[in-house]
Amino acid sequence: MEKEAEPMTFSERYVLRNAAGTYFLLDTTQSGEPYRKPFVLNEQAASLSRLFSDGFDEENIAKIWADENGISVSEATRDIADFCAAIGFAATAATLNNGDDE
Amino acid sequence: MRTEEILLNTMRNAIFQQSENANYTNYEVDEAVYALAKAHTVTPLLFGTSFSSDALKQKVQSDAKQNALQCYRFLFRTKFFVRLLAENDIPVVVLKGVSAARYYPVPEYRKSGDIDLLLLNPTQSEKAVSLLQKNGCFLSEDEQNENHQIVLRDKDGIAIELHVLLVEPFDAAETNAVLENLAREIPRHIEHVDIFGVPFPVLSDGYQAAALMLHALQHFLRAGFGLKLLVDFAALFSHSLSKEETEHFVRIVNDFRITGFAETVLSSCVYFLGLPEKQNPLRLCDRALCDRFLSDLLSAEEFGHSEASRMVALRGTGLGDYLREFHHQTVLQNPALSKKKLFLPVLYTRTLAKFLRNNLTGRKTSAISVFVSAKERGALSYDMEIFRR
Repeated sequence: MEKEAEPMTFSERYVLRNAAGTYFLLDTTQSGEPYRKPFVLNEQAASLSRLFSDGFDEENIAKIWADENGISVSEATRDIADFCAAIGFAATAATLNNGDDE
Repeated sequence: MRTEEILLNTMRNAIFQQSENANYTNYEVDEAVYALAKAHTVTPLLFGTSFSSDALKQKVQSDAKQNALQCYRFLFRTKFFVRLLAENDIPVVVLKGVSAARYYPVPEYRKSGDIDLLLLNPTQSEKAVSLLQKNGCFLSEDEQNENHQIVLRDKDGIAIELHVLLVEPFDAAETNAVLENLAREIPRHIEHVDIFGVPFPVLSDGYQAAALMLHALQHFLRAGFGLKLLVDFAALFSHSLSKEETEHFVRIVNDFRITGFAETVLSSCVYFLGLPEKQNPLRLCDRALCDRFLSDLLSAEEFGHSEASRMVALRGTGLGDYLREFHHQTVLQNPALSKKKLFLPVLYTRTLAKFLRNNLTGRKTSAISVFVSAKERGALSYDMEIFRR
């Protein structure tokens, strides 16, 4: 049986850039046809991106996020879920591929 | 402080902001500096400096953000075309664009207007054009005016320049033989580098530097080039090239006998853009020559678009240099027919008629102005010993 492809991690898929005072999140797995613009992130979303890029799992990110923002872990988990949904990243799912890529 | 000096200082800060012992002063950028930067397509590099007004600060921020968005678009469109061609056994290497931007501290701030791809096997040009046409690109008929590249546009209007040679052939057979040898070497000097997480085939540092130098020379010998290309060199050489890559670069410019030109370009980076002298692999040349070169470069704006009379820089200032350039222009405009000597008188007449007509109708300048400009720039190219050393 063919081995299932490992889901891509956040850092394998995304690159966070800061240029002209703006945070851009690039989905590097896109083929370029059609071209998909980067996500423009605010400071908070950029912080979440950095936590994902640093390799923390969702549970740990929720704890750090709750700590940093003085909110409950369940609220933090919702923030993270919203962020992941907005950028199309399936943080807890087995696979990530959402369609139009390679 | 003069507008030009402030702009150069700002460019220096933008490229060397992260270097050790940096102790640069941030001069205030005003509308005049902005206007000069805009003419040289380097306004994004002004981002992060001090401005004379909030309105100007916002204008620069907007320019920088738009440039970043364009950079990302070009990055992924380049990825698409490189992969498409590679999957059809048409290997290419990315020239300029993202491959030059990668040397900048913030690559998003380098302005790029098209996608330049060099075909590693030039005989595949028809196959490549056909493939791109099948994938939504179209041949841009009024842009097919150069012998070394084919210009297509994608559905969004982005120009894709398919190069069959690194640069347009020069006016001397021995130089073009060196160009052909270089083309044969290139496939052995390609690296796959990661730019924002996307891998691209690019020339190794030394070959990249040499390709940029030939590109700059080509523009210099026409209408000139602006500050952006000089900043490209400062950015590239701000990274220490390995000994081997440095040797490649030095050897290639020597083979083309453009060491004098390359010395002037890199010395100008040292004098005006803060390139550390130890990172200049060539001899530091006379400051006075660099001042003249800088003056030409600043008045050229991007690719010599500033004045209609800027058409060429001759190799010297004698009658022979004018005739040589005239013959070269004739050959470039009629690559096939000009090989038959019998046709030359007719082709010369046609070139002259076209030149005079374009001056009157398109460029709105006189032949005398063109000759005067060419003579002045010819004196500079003579002193840079182009094709002599």
